[in-house]
Amino acid sequence: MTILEAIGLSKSFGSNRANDGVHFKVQKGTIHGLIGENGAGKSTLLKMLFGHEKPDSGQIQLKGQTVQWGSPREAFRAGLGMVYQHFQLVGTLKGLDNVILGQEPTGSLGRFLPAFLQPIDRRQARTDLEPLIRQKGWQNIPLDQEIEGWPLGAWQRLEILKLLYRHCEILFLDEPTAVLAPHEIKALLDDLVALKTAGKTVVLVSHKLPEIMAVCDEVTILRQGRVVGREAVGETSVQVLASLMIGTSAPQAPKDTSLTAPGSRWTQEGGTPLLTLQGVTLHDSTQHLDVLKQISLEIFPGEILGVAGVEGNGQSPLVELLRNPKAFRKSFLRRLGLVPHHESLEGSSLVQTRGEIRLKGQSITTCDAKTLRGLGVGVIPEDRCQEGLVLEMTAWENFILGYEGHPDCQGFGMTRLPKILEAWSQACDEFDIRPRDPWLKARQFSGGNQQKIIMARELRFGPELILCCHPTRGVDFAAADLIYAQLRAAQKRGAAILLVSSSLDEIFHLADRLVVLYGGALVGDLVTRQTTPEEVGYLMTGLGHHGTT
Amino acid sequence: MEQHKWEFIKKSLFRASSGLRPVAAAGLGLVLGLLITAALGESPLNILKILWEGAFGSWYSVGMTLAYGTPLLFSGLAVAIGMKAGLFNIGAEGQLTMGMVTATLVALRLEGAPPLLAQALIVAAALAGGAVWGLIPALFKITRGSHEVLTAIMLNFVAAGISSWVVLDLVRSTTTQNPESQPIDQHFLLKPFEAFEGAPVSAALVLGLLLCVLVWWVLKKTVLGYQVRAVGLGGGKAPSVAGISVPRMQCLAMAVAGGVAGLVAVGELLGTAGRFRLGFSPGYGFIGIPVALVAGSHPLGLVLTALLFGALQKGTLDLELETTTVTRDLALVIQALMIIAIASEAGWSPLVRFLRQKFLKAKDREADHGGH
Repeated sequence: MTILEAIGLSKSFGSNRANDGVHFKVQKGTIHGLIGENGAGKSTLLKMLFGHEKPDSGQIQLKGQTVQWGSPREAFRAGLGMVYQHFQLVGTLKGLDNVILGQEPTGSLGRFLPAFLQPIDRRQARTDLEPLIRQKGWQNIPLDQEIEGWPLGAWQRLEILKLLYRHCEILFLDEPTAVLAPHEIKALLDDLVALKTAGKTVVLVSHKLPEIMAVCDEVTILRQGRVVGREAVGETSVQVLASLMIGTSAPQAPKDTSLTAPGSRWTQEGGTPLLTLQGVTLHDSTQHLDVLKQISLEIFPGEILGVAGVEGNGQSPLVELLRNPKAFRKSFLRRLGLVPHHESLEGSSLVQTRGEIRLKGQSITTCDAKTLRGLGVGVIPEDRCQEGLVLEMTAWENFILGYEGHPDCQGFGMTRLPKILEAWSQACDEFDIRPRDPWLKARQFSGGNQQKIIMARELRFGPELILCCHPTRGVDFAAADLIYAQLRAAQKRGAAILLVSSSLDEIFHLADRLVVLYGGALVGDLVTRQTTPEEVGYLMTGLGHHGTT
Repeated sequence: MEQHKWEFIKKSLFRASSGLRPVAAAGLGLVLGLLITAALGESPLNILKILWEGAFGSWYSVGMTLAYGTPLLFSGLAVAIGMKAGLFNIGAEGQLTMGMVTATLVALRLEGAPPLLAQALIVAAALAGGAVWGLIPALFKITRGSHEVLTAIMLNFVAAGISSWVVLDLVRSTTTQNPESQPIDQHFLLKPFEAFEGAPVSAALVLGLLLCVLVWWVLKKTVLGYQVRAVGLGGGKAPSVAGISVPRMQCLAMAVAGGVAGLVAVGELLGTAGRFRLGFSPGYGFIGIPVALVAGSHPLGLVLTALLFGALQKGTLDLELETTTVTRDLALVIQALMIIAIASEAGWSPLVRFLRQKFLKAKDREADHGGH
């Protein structure tokens, strides 16, 4: 019996069709997988199902009846519940209070009081919850303690408990395993199966195929805003799902997954690497897990090394580490306990616990961002608005950000405005930045032109190493071509480029060699010309990882 | 070419007009204040006349306006510097108190020293005392993540306590019953300018003006100023990716801000009083906040707003004497209305946008909205 159905849902944001006629059907009492890469339209679909966004066209049917949500609250009342990737719990409240928050049972004592003044009947809440907990066998839930500091697996159980307490019929879980340790993942999957046997319906949103295969009955695959497949798990294979998700023909196991990339031009010629990582491990001290595991790689001058992987598998921490290794040291203040354990000065809870990073043979494990700039490292960050630009500053000011100390930009501590403006106008020619007015604020440029400003800035002084993340994300074709040409030119000049991208097309277009990250570990090191997107897709979805070990 | 020039002039005018917005807000506040007096049965014109005469009617009045404005110049600048680095320096009151404490202690030690040397040392002491007090919230912020507003407010009370102890127990005046310190050496005192007919306007005003220009120049022209502004505007992430040490910039800005606040002591100790009178500040540090806000934290705009607030202070003093229904509190009411007018700027910004679209050519508009 179909419990929830979306019929031809469409939603556009500007010119971007986030969802394009999506049909989505969930059977009662099953576990349904919803998979797709980042940007495939999963979040938009969920937002419409939960009443956060109104669809442009199409309708939603719940138990055979067409519904139109006026607000998220209505969807919730109708029995749709969601466990978000970022938990919606209050760390300083006890577990019990977290569960009943917003739906507190009140005693009979306060019959004459208005609702908001009534005392909370915690005993009632406990009697309501106890059968649920006993049924699940969750004895270790911190009902009577502040939940701060408890493992995230316990938080997640509280979230699920919260939904059950509110009598939700359909439970959505958004990337539930992203933050969990391996044993917690196993427990979660068992819990989901138990929920199914209890008659609940579960929708599991994920891009980790092995987990989907392990528990789901049916899978819907989204790609670029459309449903590209709907498969019964028993009748399909991981390969088929992966190919639908990534948009290639069926992925195949690479013939050779050894981590040394035999046949690479650079290793054969015996050149010296520009950047070397040896067994680098990053530990997240709040979540107690390693986000980078024993990463070893080399980049040679004049080489573009692609980093492939489904997003969230360690790419961001890798780049953040490389652009400012010092921020990941156990600092003096941290050792003294002067910095709260959950954030360092840079606001990160990550610590490099093992490994060595070398640039031109010199260890840079303790270098900070400023020193690295001096050594010729250019950074094209992932989030151009937050990390790349100061939006409220003018274009020329952003054009020197990070290089304000360079002799071309200052003399005797004063900024050399005429010289900077001259360089800006050159950059405008070379990178086709529009408009050319250096006094406009960075905020006033379009996304593509903002990216060009960053490119122009970072390539201006001929860096030897370029850490380049998603260089063409949200950028139109003309601008993307220009960015590719500029990266190639830098490569020809002898620069080494680390290219992190969620687009395999981009990596295959630019990179000479590529490595694949899955779950924070390097699962492949391949020469682009000797591999195929199918093989890389296989590694990206964790198949090589689970298949070979 | 001629066309091009005209466009440029229009654009510059526009940029300047956005700087005039606070002035418009001040006018709005004043008009609302006058409406209130009208409701009390006073003639608004008469009130305006008394305000004007009181603040600018004679050289003496002008002098008093300047004298009231001088400490606000320092405290306003202290708040503005914090703002530029993205921090809300609400602790100027404590910083100026500590500047006063150190300056007084040093001044009393230096009895009989050559005046110029002594004055230099006293200024340095005021600077140092304020700087240390400004640095503390910044250090707490970068090591523990404590919010600078909380720590700075609390430190205001600590400074008040320390100053009472120093003045009443360490260097209490032996000749008067007032809660004040012993007088400092008469030779150290700055002479009031004679043009102002006895109003206590001294070199402290000149120091304040120079400081405003200096801060403006540093922020606008130097690499250091660039880095501070980037930290203030960038929310921390982009500057730190670019290799600018955000904690260091925040510490530096707060130390400088505190030091500037501490310089209020120069006008008070070397100019008007010649000793530490407890309670000498009617909340200069706090009035500094609207002074900086009205000026949009612009160091040069500050000069105008500090003097405006000084004029209000002096003008309303006369209101109390010359009318029966209006008291000094009107000054506070007008100040508050001005701040509300500025804070609600978003409410009247559609008007500004409308004007902008009328004036700028289509080409520029495209550039303007390309990012959205």
